[in-house]
Amino acid sequence: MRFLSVILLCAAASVAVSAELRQPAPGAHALVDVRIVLEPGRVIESGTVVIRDGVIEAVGANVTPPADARLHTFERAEGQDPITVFPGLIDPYYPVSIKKDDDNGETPPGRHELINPDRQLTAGDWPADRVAELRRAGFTTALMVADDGLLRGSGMLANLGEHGLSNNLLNPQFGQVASFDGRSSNRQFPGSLMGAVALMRQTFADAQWQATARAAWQRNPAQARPEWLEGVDALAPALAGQTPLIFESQDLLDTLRILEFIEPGDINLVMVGHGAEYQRLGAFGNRRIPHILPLDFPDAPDVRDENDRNVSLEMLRRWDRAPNNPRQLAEAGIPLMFTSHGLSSPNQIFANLVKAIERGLDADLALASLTTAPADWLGLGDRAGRIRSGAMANLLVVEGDLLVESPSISQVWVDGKQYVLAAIVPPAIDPAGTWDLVLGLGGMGDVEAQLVLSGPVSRMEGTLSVMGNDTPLTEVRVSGERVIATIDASRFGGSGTISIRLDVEGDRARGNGSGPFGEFTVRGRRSAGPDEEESI
Amino acid sequence: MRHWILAGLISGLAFTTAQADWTPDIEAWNSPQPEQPDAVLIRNATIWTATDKGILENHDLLIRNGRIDRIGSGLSAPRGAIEIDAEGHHVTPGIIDGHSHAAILGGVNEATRISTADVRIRDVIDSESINIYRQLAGGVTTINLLHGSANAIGGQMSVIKMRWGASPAELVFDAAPEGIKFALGENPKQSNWQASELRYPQTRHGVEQIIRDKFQQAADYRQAMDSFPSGRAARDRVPPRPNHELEAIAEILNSERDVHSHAYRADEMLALMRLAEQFDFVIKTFQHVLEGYKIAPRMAEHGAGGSTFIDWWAFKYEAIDGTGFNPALMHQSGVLTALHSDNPELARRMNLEAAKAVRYGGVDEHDALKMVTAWAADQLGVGDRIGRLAPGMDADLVIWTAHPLSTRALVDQTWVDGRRYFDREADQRMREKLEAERAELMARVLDSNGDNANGNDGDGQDSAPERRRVHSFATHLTGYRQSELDHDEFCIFHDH
Repeated sequence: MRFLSVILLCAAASVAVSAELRQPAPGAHALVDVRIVLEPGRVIESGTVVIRDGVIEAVGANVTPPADARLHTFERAEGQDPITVFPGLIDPYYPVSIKKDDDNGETPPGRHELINPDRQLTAGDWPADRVAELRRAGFTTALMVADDGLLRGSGMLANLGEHGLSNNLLNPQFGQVASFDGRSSNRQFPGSLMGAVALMRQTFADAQWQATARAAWQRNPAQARPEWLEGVDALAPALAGQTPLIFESQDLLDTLRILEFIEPGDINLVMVGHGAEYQRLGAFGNRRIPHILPLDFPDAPDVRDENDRNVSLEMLRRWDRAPNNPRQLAEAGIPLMFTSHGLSSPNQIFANLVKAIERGLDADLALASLTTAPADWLGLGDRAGRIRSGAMANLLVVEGDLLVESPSISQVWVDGKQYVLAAIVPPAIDPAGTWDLVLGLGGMGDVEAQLVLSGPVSRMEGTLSVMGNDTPLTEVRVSGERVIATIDASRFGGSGTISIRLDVEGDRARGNGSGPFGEFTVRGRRSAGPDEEESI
Repeated sequence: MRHWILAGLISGLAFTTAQADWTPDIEAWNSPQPEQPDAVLIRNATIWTATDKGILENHDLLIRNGRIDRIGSGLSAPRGAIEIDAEGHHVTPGIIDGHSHAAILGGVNEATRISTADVRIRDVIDSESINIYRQLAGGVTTINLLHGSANAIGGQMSVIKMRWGASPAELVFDAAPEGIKFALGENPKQSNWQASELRYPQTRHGVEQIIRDKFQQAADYRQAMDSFPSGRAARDRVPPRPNHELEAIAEILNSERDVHSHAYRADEMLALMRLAEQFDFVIKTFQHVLEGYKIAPRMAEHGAGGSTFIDWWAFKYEAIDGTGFNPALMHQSGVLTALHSDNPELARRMNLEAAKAVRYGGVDEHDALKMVTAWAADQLGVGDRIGRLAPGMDADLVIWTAHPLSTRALVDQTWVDGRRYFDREADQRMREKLEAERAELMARVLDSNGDNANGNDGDGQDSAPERRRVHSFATHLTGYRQSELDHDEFCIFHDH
């Protein structure tokens, strides 16, 4: 508790210091003259959001900012995309590796190493680095779950701010997570998939038995005491349907297996999908099992060289059809939520969302699957997923639209605390020309590259040449003295996008970049101006 | 076993890049269920009934709504019937393979315990396995998916019909009685396992003893369950803990679950039959049963069937006394005899396995065919539904281009439940359609490869489940997913 207050004091102090002098109340903010997406399908073209002490105090077109609020205004040049405020995104399935206390310890009698329905994530499991990564992709709330075993314990619902679990916890116990993807170590049972299913079946029976047996023995202790199976009692709420059973499916046949294993009845089944549900949609019958869908669509095989065309029809089909999966599930009446789980980096979710929308997924439904749908499912319908007064101040400030391949999220607000990803500043430089750069790839050494930028500052284009490979930039933006460029990583045999941030000072530039291969440094200088391009 | 699997994985990695793309063009999930016509009349065929009616030349067979309606000559076609002129062709019951691991996912053996009666093949049926279609092309219509032979008491089996395109639940042949795999000899006693993985028992008499122990435990368990009061009297009593393993074993003792036991040697088969008799039930079949000929009268007396390879032997010490005459000798002694594959490739040529029983021991041709049809069905307890061509039986049948025991015989059509699941001509037509589909998709991929503005293709998920060739000693096994090969790794290294 004392620790917490120290943190709060620090947080308050930092806001106070960074705030302008006229701001008397550090927890009060107003985002003024912004476009506001209250929830999918409900937009205010120009309005104000007022935040106080981590909570949205007011939102609307005619809201007057309170006198004590710090005003956040955004200068826009003619023709620039509007600044839009979105509800923070929610990831309803975020697996976390659990630190094991005693990896070498024998499993005590009455326990099985894969059966941990009583497990809860703790403050020590908080994945601070990954939380920051999620937040940079626009996620402000996540259900964190353990990533190993057959019965994995309850999920932990938290916001994605700084300062660990203690500053972010919403609900320490939500759902029960299950999977058939668990095998024992040291050649213990189970060592096969069918063994894993058998163990799960026995555990379900044990949980029911233990409840009856213990109760009978407590009423009548003058009989042999039943053995006690530690942990299985924690399964009871899920078996009774009081909390969802979140079943992670590995593939199509796993989904069929789970549907058969969990018969229609009390259990409130929610499945984490695998992306190929479209292959046997009929299996759901009239069971509208809600799905948490990953969006890791297969890459297109590179078949530009004729020698590379020995690609299986199965692979081609999967590449072709996987982006239809969300739409097809929606059409089948399956309630959808999306997760960043399965992506190498959570910000890769947007490119695939765009693809799913191109294949007919309703854009509002796509946004709902990241906001209102998970919020409602997680019991946060009145506090998250929507911008409304009384909700947690979990917001995204975006230049332009959110559901584009590489959205420009400039700010993420979590519990009323602002995290600036990219300052929204009008261009202060004209970086057009040819830049000779050195990319520092850490242990892999340095690589030379050439960046050519052209066009007006508000609408630039360009190419990056690395080792003789010319790659067009997906997007270039100039913000203040910074150039932000994104590149399709598949050009380099990776997937997703590579982004480069360059701080320009005259003809010198330095900065950094990140991509599916990791982070790298960038430095270099302008070797030619825009009019000298031909000479290169 | 572990280092073998490791070696397998390593060699698998080496193959992955080179061979990962070698997968079949057809997939189960997008293969529609063939229609079931109201009536099908097959005319002028040589019909091998696998019943005491024998082989009927120039006969007609009428299918109505998935069942065989009549067999005769000069039958008239009902209105709207599909008519097939089978002149010069032979019609047999669909082939039944009583010992298969061809469509099992995630491991054929739960090899961690000596008894795994609680595991169920039913949970891991691989409806997407190409084996189903390939074996249909070999005339196979029903297979018995068995747990491996690592444990004295293995897992619960699952009999499936080869309804290519159906889901696992739809594949299951629900008329089949419950059954379970047992195993005797070198595999359960770990003769060929790593020394670091010792498990009780390590001897043949230890195997017999552990089975006896489990039977006794199961009998005790069943008694405790049965004597537990119901209703109000149960309220304050602690109920016995449910135990799915003992539950399944107790079903054996109550003759509610058939035992199909892997065995090679005569002595241990005698021991298991004696044990079963003490517990008052019958071993349904011995599997492989290479020394069955030595004890055939005793097997017949007990009532145990023998399901055997015809010419696989000497691949390990306990298989050294095998002989091709084994089926003939068991049959002559009154043992219900069948031939099985235990191998997804051999399964496509079971008609030739039957032919070998004619060659070795002079089994009557019709009886030889029964070893892969009627008698295999009887061993699985479904002889009243499949395995014979007679009115009322399921319309599971094969139309062959020639005498079915001839090496020249090709399967022209395979029918299951009165649905045409394989048709040689339709298969050829399908190949053209698949080529067109490939061309169209390839054009689209090329388009996307060239599309600079929108070339981002997501996040690196492999486009297809990993498939590869198995190790060099079995390079004929192509187009399998990793999960399907787990069995082969065990099986090949453990000589079945």
